[in-house]
Amino acid sequence: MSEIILPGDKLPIHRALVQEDPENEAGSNITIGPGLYKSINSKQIIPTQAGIFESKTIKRHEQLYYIESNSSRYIPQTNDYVIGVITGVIGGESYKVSLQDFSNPVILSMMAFPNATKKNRPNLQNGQIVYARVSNAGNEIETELECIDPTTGKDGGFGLLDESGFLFNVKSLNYTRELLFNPNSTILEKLSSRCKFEIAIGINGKIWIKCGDGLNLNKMEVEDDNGSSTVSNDSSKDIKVTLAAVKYITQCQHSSPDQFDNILQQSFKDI
Amino acid sequence: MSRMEIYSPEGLRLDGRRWNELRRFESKINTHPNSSDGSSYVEQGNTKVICMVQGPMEPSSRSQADSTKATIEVNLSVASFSTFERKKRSKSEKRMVELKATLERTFEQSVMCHLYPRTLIQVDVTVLAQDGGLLASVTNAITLALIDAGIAMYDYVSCISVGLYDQTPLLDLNGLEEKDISTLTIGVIGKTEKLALLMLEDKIPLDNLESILGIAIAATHRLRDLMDDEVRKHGNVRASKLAKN
Amino acid sequence: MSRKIEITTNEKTYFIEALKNGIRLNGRQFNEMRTPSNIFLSKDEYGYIELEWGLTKISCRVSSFIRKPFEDRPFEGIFNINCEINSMASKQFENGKNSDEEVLISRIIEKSIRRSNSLDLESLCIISGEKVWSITVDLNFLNFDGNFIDIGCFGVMLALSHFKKPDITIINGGKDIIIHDINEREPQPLSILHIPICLTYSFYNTSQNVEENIKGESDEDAIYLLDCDYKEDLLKDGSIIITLNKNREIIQLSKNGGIPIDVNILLDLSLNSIKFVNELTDLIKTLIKDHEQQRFTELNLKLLQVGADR
Repeated sequence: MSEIILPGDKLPIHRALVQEDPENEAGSNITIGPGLYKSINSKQIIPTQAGIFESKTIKRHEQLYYIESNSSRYIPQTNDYVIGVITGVIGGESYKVSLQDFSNPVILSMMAFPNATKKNRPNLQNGQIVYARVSNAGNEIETELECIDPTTGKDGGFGLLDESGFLFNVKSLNYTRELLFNPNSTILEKLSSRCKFEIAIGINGKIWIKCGDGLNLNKMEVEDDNGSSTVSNDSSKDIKVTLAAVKYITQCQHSSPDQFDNILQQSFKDI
Repeated sequence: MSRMEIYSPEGLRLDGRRWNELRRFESKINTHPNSSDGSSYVEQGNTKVICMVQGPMEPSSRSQADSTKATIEVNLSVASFSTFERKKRSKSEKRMVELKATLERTFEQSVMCHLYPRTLIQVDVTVLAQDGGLLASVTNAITLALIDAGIAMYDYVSCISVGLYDQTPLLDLNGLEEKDISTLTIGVIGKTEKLALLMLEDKIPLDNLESILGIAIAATHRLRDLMDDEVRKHGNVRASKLAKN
Repeated sequence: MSRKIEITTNEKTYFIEALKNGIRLNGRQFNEMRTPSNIFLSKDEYGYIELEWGLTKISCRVSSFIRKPFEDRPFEGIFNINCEINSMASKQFENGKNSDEEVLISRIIEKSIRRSNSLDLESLCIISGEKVWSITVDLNFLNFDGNFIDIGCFGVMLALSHFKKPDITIINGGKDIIIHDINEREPQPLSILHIPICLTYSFYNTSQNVEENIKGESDEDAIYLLDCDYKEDLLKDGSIIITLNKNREIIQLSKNGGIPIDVNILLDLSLNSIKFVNELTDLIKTLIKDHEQQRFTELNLKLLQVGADR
């Protein structure tokens, strides 16, 4: 079921669901997601964003409602996967991280890394980027990130994204969610037919991609002595492939799925 | 104005110089030892400039502190009596803002700013008299004051203006010449051929550019020597005092 | 809130590595300009243009009125360029606040066009000491994708070439004037003496060692890019703006700080630029010519013409 809902519209859900105690009446629990708001006094669920209304049954007796909308400004929500840029250190204890240009900075504690202790701290420089999870986002406190999987205490894929990959921004946040969460999306699948790549998608509109072996700065310096030409050729090719991949991903954002093949062809035509 | 001969057939200019002659260049460093960390006074012909450097010091506002390098702030004030006709100049004039930005950006590169993170180097320049080559004299004065303040630099930044009269380049223009012919100001780091600063505001033929730059670079190298002499002279005076103690 | 775009080390290293391999991130050659696209020349009014250049977008309007000339210049009209950069173009520009960057941009456009006498001011004189045309160009930047100066200068020149001022008759022995409505008499174009073209080269130091570059020991590490986009603009180590016209005259040169540039490179760049200057000048001329032609046919001005073409 998909329907465009605007703020002020009535939600196309069962009458009983908006009553005071929906569990008893309709026999199901309701979880509301982004774009919906439950008014504290009237207990009504009202839409607050424009977008496509989605309704899903997660389990028996449990309904999920949310509005799939598209925006370009990222507002942190707990459990979001994001890519942040380190912009400074606050009080020697935590990093100041920027999630989007011209947005409020967020905090990444130095303790929120695997195996971090007071003595064994991560050493990140300004300008480096990390893949992180929003651990705490609320109105009253400053947003916090963490680079650790809280259930296992391991890195869980979070942490520093090294310089061998390229970082780029996409304007639409909806698109990054699509890439990250939609299992039916073929965009990345199609790309994998052209090149080997490693990707990190932050739903704050930042994507890190490394094609082939990526940039290997250290390797280049080591091998400069005995065979520099082959190495530089390799990295030159990887750069081209990466740029083509970036072009492809950026352009897919504005196109319908049937054009993806065409765009892929276009982007990779020089390689 | 038009009746004056900028460059006579005999090869003499308004003030009796030849095409390739500099004006009198005099400089002093450490002129204000009490009020500033580094100071200088430069006279190029009748253009007179005082420059004072404070710092590297704590910036007055947080926003000026850069955690990777020092910030350079140039305050340029042109005295209202500096020209023949008394005229008040405001700092917000576009021309002044442009000069200020040009100077700041030039010295950001030639000073080793990365050695002084989170600090401010404040440069106050006062122009006492103007007779052409303003930007050049100011740049030279700042260089000397920075040296006096002991701030790490790669080399001298020496700066000169050159004009073009017909096909002849004229070196180090005075105020009258500057009004009539187009002027190119260049700043060079040390004795290289690398341009740190470049400003041309009026038309010159493209094909003459090379000859103008040639003479200008030679002049900046000469100026560097003149400034170097002055700094060394001052250094010797200080060194001799040390030896006596 | 920071008014700064954060550049990550990833972007920077990738950019530099790509340059070392002769690749620009946007796929262009080092000295390749973007071509202006979607050029809109207004048909209803004279002197309004819009154009896109990559993603940079500008609009430019020329307006005119009659006023008394300045006392010290009774024979000259008045010409002003008004540059407006606000946060519409990019969030890095603050509303109502003139940063140094913005002042530099408008200063250079002004120097290139106004100071170089590109517009013949004496032809704007109607009655000396009494009435002259005052021409104002309002340049608005609608979107920022680098290189405001080159594009702004191109836009202003295009708008000035497009503009026409109403025809005027002087009556009563030079005391009064009649301003003819543009529908009554064909308006007059401005007299433009030459078309200045700005070209901005950004340079990048690819070696780790800044010192060597400043002391002039190595040249090969410096890379020069023409017409940079916004990312290249953020990463640049310095830039030089060369303004030239078709007559091989340098109108303006400026290098505001940044890493030093070798004299020979400066000469090479200037000589190279002539090619682009010719292309862009011709582009302005063809655009205006085509536009005139189109107007001529659409309004059926042929009907009004008496006799043969002069």
